[in-house]
Amino acid sequence: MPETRTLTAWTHEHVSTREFQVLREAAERFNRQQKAYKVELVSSLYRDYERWVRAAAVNGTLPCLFEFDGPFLHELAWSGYLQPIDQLIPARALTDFLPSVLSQGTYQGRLYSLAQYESGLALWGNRRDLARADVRLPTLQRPWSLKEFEQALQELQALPGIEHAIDLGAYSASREFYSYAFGPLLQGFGGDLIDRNTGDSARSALAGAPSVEAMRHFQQWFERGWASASLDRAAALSRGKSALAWGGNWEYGDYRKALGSNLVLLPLPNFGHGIKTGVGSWTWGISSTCQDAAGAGAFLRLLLSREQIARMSDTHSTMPSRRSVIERSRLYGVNGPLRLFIEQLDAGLSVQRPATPAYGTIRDAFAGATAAIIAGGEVEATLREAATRIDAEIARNRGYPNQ
Amino acid sequence: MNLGIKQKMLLALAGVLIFTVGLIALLASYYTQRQNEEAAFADIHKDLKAWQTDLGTSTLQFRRAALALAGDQGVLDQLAGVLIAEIQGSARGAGGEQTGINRTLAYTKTVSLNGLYFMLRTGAFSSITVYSGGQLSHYVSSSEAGMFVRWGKSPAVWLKTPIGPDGSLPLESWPAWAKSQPPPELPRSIPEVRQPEIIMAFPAADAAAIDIAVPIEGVVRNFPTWWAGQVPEHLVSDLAVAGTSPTGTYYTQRAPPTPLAVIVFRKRLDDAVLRDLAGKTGKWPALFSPDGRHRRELTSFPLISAELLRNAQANSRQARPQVEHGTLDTTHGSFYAAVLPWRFEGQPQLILGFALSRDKTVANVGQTVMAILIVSGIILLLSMGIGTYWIGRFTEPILALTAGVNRITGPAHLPGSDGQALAPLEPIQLRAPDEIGALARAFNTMLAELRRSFETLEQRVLTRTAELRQQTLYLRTLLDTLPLWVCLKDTQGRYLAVNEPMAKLCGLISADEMVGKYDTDIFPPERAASVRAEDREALTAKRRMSIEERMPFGPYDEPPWVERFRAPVLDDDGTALGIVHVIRDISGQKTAESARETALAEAVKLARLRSEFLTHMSHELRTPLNAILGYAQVLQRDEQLSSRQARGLAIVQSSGEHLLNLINDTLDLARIDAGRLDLAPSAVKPGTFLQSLADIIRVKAREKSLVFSYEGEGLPEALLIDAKRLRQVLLNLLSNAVKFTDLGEVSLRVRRLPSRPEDNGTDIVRLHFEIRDSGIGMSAEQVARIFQRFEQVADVDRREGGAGLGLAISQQLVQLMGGEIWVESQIGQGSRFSFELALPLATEVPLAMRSEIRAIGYEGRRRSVLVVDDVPANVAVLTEMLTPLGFEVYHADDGQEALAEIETRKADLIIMDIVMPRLDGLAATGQIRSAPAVAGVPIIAVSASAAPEEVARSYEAGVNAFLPKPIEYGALLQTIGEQLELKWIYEEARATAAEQAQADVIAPSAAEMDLLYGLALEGNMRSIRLRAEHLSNLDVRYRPFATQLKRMAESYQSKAILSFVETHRQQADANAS
Repeated sequence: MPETRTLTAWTHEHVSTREFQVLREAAERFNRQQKAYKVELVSSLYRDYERWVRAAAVNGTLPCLFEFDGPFLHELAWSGYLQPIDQLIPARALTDFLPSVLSQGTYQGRLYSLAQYESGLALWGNRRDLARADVRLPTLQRPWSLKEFEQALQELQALPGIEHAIDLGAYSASREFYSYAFGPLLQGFGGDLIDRNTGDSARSALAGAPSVEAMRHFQQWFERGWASASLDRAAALSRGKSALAWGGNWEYGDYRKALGSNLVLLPLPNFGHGIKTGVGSWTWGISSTCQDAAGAGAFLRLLLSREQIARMSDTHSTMPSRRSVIERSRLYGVNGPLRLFIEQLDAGLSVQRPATPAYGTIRDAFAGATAAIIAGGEVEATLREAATRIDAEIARNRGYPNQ
Repeated sequence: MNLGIKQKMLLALAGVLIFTVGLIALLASYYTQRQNEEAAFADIHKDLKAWQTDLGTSTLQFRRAALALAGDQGVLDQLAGVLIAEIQGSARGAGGEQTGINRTLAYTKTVSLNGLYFMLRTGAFSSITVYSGGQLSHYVSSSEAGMFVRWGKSPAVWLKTPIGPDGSLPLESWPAWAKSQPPPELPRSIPEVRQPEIIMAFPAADAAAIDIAVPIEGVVRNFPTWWAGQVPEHLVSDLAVAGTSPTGTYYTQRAPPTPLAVIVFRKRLDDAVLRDLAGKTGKWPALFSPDGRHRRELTSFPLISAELLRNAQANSRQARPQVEHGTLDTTHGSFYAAVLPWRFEGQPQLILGFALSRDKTVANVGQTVMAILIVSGIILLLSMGIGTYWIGRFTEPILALTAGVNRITGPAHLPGSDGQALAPLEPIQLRAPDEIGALARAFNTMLAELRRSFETLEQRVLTRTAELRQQTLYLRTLLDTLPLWVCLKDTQGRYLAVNEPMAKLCGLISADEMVGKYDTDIFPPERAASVRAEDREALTAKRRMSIEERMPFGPYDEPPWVERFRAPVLDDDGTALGIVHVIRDISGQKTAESARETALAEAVKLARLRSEFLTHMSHELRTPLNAILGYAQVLQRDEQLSSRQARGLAIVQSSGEHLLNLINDTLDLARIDAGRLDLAPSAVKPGTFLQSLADIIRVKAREKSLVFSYEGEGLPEALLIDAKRLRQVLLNLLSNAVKFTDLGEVSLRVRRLPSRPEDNGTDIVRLHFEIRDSGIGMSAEQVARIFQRFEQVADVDRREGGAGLGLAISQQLVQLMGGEIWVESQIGQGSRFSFELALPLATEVPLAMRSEIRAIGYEGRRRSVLVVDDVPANVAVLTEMLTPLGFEVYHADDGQEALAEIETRKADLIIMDIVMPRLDGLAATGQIRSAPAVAGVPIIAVSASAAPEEVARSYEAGVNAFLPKPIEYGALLQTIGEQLELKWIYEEARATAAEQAQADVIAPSAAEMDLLYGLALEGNMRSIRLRAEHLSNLDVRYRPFATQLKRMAESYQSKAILSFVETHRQQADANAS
């Protein structure tokens, strides 16, 4: 009888989360179904997951399976840490996945990762406050313009009980949130984090006039008191202190619980170049040094099954990564309260974060610049400095050559 | 030449330095000479051997480290990853998938490089290279890392990256590493190595290296495929260092190269190593390959000759190669050189060499000496310079200080006789941070103090001069003003100071005229000689002398009385400096003295007259009293007296006694005033003494129905007391207490007090006497007056007798005994008198005295008593007293008659009055004592003058006892009994029966008691007395009752009678029932 080989799978979820429970149940199920492999699920617990993965990669101790945030696929694949998985997933199944998920997992034409869920970015609103301020509710077809948006903020700000018209999530300690949530803001004004055509420079995009204008408006929203930088994570929208929140689909559960039927989901404004919104999620990959790729593939297939994706979606309002699951979803299905996110995706309004090994540097530079701008830093100089840092990193890596 | 301190120190310094330098040069020359060729070679040999040993040791260490690191499981796992990726790469096909495999292979190499880089730093290697399948795979050194990767179409591209400035390897961005070529020193392939080997390498012309090649072996096997068409996976496992495990086997389906990989750990021996050696040994090291093709020397020309090298090569084949040495002469000089082949584990590995410059060695001697001399010369000069500077620094303050001191102590600052002002004391200008500076500052402080002192002294001299002048003036004036004649002379008799009166007395115009002159210049020769003699006497005696005389010189008709004083003026050591002569006019004093003497004589005379008067008065008053009281006592003894007679006699006696008390008080007062009241202490039993007093007072108290209590605490057996005076005091106080108390009680309390420190352990007993009553009390104003003479603070009704002298005398007596009477009293609250006496203990216990002798006769023959008295009444009294007792009494009128009487009729006892005409009692006594026939007859002196001096004179005259008049019957009998040693016969039986009867008072009938009660209520004392007499006569058993009743009636105690009758009526009733 062949020996049972142990596959280790790392997840960024803490053991206390419902998501981890779903994954653990899947692993247990996998281990019961066959004897050749045994999956051992390891939580990051309180580790800095990103640093943990990098340290393991350098030392050659990456597990067979591990989670990572979608935008890092290019960096991990470029360094040779991942092996393609397209051979491991049936082609028919792949067609069921959202294009954004497939796009996020593809590097140099090969699929390296797949996610159980996708994400979306929009505006959450308090219907009652919006009505009190007599503000029009925007739609995908007729979103707020910049002027309307700022007008709305001003009127909402004037409402009694409202401390700040909008919660921009600037409390977020996660560097990731800034590029995820405000990268689309730049794009809405015509700017971007990096020149997507060449992928080798941030100067023209991040330090360009559209981005500068976008971030100046962004800064004014804070200066006028419409938004606030706060360490208080308790959502201001839930507490009635704000009338709007710039956030992701994962907030639905909390907001719904707090506002009930007053919760309204609105598209982001059209700042001039159409609605631009964020996308991307945590995804699974197999390390290049994994000697049990076949076993890893088998477990990955289980994770990406409709059933597991539906279970994961049910736990945290996550957006399923497979269409067949979405259509059956109470939240994201047709007429579901979160259907807007699917419509945004389908309308091509979602923009991936830059697909380059330099993404880590881009993210850190933009997060630093955004924090400085919120704190009152001069916008253009701050963005130029961030762009310089990104370009230097790209140059240091010779433009990230590929074999 | 007189050198200063500075020059001396400099000379000493120079001498020491020159000597030291010379000595060093000589020693250096000597020891350098001893450097010879053998020593040089021996030194080289030693260093070569040490180098050889070091090489061997370090090579062994490197190998141990290399094997340990290569065997690390982490390293082997990482290497396994590389091997797997290589196998996978070679197993897969081409195309897109190949790119991923190539990428994985490259990534696994970065992982391996990461581990190797850590080892490199851990083991201090120069580089670590991995050969896979005998081909160069990847390598890392302390400066860079590199690896072969498949890139695009190219099968092998060398990527390299420098080590970051922080020592990090940019492993994640390996695709961005630079494409390059491997370092030339790295062979692309490695010969087959079956077990760890040490290989000497010469990677470059300038470097040798020790390579430790460690072969890695392991197991490669296929991984079972999961589904059909799956590319076979391979597993590489069980990697280990080859040649170290005898069980190493290969399970391969496809035979892998053997071994799978080789890791080469390199330690370079480059110029740095040689320079390090040169630095340590001071010689030129050289390194050769055993074949001699590779050589490394630090010099640009060969130091090891070819011949020496050949010898070494030949020698290196020996198992224990020896050192070969020789000399080499080149254009650069002459050298000693030596080589030693180094063999490691039996194999020749390197040839080691050292060269040492010979010229330098020989030249060293001269150069060393010269160098030492030059350096020493410089040091000498420097030392001299520094020494000069520092000696100057050290000595200049001293010199400056010395100069300053010299300036100050120079003649300009010393007081001279020329009287010129002294030069000012300028401070020393000196700045030095050390003790010299401190000394200079202290000196300057001292100078300032000195300067201040000079100024102060000058000022004080001026002040003192003025003061002296003023004082001289004062003295002059004082002397001139004194009503005395004063002069001061030196020991030679020269006048130093004279006041004006003296000058005038001596007939001179002024005192100034007299000063400076001698006695002989002033007085005639006789007088001058007399004065000088007196002066010499005073100077010799060294004490003050005075003479009272008439002024012996001067312009007087009648010279006044003067007192002349001569006092020597003595120095501290007793040396006579001169003599003071003061004359005082005492004429007035003489006159006053004369008057005072006259007055004193008059006063003495008056005092004597007064005393005589008192004595006379005492005598004159006592004489009739003697008769009165004597007869009263005699008559009272008559049992046939009627009540009236008895009462009359009692009044006579009490009046007589009262008169006697008055006389005594008056006499006492006179004595006190005259200071002639002396105490006569004698041994007394205080208990008995006080009890007898208490008995007296108890009777008085009972008469007033007062409760009397006496309490004596801690009384000693016997004390020395003037019992008479103490009795006088206590009776006075107690009598007063009874007198001024109508209801309640009177108490006498005497207690012994604890000794005091001042008693000093002597036989002193402190007694506290307290007389308390619950009587009428006194106001504060009355209390203030009670001790004044003739003061009676009580109301008129209570002034029973007395002249108001009792308390005054009592106070005087207590004070005489060393105490003080204290009074506490309030109106209506009674009084408390107290005093405290310190009394000496008596060593002899006095005989018990019967308080009252009720003698009726004496045992033995009849005795004759001669009573000598010029007063017939006195004789009669004594006769009446003594005759009933059985004495034969006869008498004489005076002393003369008494002498005549006893010649014819011998008496057994003589009672002698003192004051008598013709021959008084004392003179008669003296004559009796001188007459042998009658000299032994006891004589009792009796005198109305009972003054102590009178008593003393009597005893001096020869009497045996003294009794004061009026003669107390009891005292008389006691004295006679003592003198004649009589045994008295007492009326014991009668007394006993009477006392018994008194104790058993039997009351009469109830009817009689009712009658008595009624009489008492009426206050009819006369009838009560008559009833008492009637009862007494009615039945002898009623006598005690009748006696008490009668006594109370006589003293008009109606209340007491009522109480008495009431008590006994109840008793009578009880008896009747």
